[in-house]
Amino acid sequence: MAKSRIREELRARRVVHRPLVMEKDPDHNRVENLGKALDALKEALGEEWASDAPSVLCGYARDQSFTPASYPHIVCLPASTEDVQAVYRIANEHLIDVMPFGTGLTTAGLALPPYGGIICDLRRMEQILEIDGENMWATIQPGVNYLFFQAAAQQVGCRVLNPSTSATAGVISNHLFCNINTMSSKYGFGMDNILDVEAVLPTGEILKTGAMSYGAAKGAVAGPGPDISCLFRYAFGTYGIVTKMTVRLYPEAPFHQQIFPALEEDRLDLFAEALYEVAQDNLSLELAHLMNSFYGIFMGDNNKEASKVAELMPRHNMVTIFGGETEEEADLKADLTQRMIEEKFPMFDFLPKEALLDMTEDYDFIDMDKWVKFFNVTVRVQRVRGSFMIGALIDKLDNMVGIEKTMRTACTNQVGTTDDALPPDDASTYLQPYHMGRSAYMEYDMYTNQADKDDLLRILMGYGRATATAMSQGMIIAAGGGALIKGVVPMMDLAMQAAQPNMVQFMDALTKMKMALDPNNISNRRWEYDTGCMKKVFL
Amino acid sequence: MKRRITAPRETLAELREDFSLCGKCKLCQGVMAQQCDDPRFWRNCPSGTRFRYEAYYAPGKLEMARCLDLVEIEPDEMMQHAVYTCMLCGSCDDRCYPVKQLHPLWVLQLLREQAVADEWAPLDYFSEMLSNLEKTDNPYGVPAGKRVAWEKGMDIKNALEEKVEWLLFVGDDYSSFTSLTPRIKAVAKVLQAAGVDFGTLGSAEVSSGSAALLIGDRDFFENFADANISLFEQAGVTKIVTADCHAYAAIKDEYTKAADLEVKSFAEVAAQLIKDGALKPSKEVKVKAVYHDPCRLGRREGIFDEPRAVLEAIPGLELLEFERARKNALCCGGGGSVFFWEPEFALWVTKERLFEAEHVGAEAIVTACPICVRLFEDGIKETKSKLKVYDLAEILDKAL
Repeated sequence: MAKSRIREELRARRVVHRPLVMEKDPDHNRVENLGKALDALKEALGEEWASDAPSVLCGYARDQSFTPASYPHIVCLPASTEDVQAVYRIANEHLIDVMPFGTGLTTAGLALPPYGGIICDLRRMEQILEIDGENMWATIQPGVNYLFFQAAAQQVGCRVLNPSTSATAGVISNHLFCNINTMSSKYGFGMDNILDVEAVLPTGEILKTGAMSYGAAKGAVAGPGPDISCLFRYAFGTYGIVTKMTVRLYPEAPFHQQIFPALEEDRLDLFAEALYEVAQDNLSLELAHLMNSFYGIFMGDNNKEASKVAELMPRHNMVTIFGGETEEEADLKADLTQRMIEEKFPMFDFLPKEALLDMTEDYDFIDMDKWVKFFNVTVRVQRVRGSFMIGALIDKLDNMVGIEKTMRTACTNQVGTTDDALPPDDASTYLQPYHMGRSAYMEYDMYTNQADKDDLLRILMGYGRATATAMSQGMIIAAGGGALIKGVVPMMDLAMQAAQPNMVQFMDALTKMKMALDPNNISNRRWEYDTGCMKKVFL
Repeated sequence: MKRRITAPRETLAELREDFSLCGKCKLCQGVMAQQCDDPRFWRNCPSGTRFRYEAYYAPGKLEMARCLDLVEIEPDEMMQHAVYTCMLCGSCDDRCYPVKQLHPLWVLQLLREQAVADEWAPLDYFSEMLSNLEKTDNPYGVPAGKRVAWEKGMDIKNALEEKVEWLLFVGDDYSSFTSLTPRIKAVAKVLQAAGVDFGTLGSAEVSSGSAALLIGDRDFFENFADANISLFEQAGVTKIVTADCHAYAAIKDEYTKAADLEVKSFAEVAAQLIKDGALKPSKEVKVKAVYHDPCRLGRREGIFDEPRAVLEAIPGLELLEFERARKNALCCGGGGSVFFWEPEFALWVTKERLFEAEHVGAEAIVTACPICVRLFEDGIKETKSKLKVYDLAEILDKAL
């Protein structure tokens, strides 16, 4: 192979990102074992499906977050549960770490191998094994993404809860990692909709939970016995790899109607009350408060268009979408909700669908049907380029009103990496009632340029400040992994100590379970068995 | 001094922002989410779908570009394979640009150019094609004299000998494969039927250079571009029509940087002639046909409506659509010169497209690219499918 003609001086000061060596476990991922493991993997999975070529490894060394590159030593692509068992068997034999990789779309470095080892790319396991439209459930493999799954669900008159992520995100990994739905959180989050799982434990044994454990009829309850499917929630592969999951589906409404209550005045308290009232009526299919900039992000196809929509819209907007078996049913639900809001909240402006169409007639990119389909059928696309970090919190709506502004100031998002990025002032959060209650989910996103150190640092500090603010006031981090990963930023550690004094006991319990299930500590090796802490993910 | 067709030349490093700012959202792996009605057809990246490693999808290749730029890795055999099994169909670009304003396709093309410049391109696999180009000015090794055989029996002007309004640029495939002879004849017959004043360069026409450009050999490409532009100047033509959409893209996107040319695809010209009443398809062609958007003509140049307008004007023809149509169209397998190295993989993609055509109930596939026609015919032979393949000009000619 000819050498590339790279300037010699550049070659001399090259920085090769190789995995860290964990001093406490120097026997893991030893060079002399890697070759043997690769040979064994090729024999077990097929010559084509394991590789240690740097050009293959580099594709798994970074993700959407601003986590520094961390290369695996080997990448393999199992095609079945038996293949995953073989991967763990080989990994245990040669003491090589294993990191599961669903579709690799993470915003926090969660699928990056901190110490290298084997990346287990699960995208060849991409079958919808069973789908039952009448009883509204489906059993899927980890390579299934929302784009594929949603289209399949629609063919049986159902829909999948849309997460606030890309259409190509993995369904199983999202369900395990909370799966915060774009606007359907009246049904709970994705993790509330797991019925059963099949998982390969780090020892290579198969664990089946719920109905899957004894072949019972699915779709009713998650039993029998204690539901240990929960063990895999927020676990990021530390307890093994989920190879099958049964998830709930919901009916697809053939007809839709929308209303757009809005408030120009910056009175989030009023809006929170209105959100609660609408959620309690339980007539809407989708319900969320969107600040004008988020409105723009959802409606425009690019940042320029998003800015135009943001300017056009009032500061606070309630997106309320109704579904029905008939057009009349959808219209009736919309009408009843509109009358209720007009009566209880007379200060609200009302933007009927027609008014919105009039306002936006000059913008040919706004397509109301697409807008509805966007929330009901497909999922949110990720608009801003560069690194992305999500903050997601749950608390009482009333508490959020006070905290929201402080957080927003702290984490000023949508940081411009290009001329056509949304201006920072348009940065905003969105709120949605959770499960028709007064609790709500709030998201704040930050975007940065991985190549710009100053920008990275600023965003990281902003994120730390925002999260510390939230946690010190008792909010729950919806993305539960964050709470377990020490060392993300020093301020967050302080906030964790202040807000959750019982964390130490909790971590001890988790560590004991981890030691029982993964005696060699090979599966997503972030835990230190002696301290009971997870290793920091980055910095 | 030889003119530079692409001056100033772009280099991979200039696209640093594109390959560094990829968020790896993976939207580029599938069709447009809101237009996916059948889950069977959600995928749209041929090489990623077949080889599955991240390296074979656009984000993996952008990461390769980044790591080469950062000198984190050196080129290896897997990199060669991943870069040269990409069909350059542009589906990833079409998903990414509206959302992130990034151009993966530019990075992929420049990765190949970097590979050739840095001497790690797997040129051995393309040596026959390159040698043919050197010896005969044609990637398939067909000598100049034989490339005009299709004109036999037709009254076609030579633009170098008499003044014509339009130059018909024949292109590599139509002039090289006898299976395509009736198709290029149909192009000429349609233009003649409409009274278009056109001619060809005859045996003087050389390859558009598209095949060389696709594998990243821009220097070699520029020789052909230079030769053709000189011929255009010699003939005194500025209006060019071609039914070869690889030549069309090369002339429109590259030649026009150095020459003032008006370039039209045959589909555009035919649609306009029908609209103007110069062509009146009147004979019934009873067939359920599905139109396949060639990547270069559709996604690359935005020509989606014109070929459909031509087909809709044909009496008796029932026009169907693929599940993956227009911007979502799957490559036929003939993109990126991949078939020179990995013919089995190219055929694998072709078969997938044929399956999709049968799935929508088509009796025939119509397309507007000679490479697509060839690949589909090969696929039909292999699968023993009952589908028929028509070139756009061929089916239009049947209706006149």
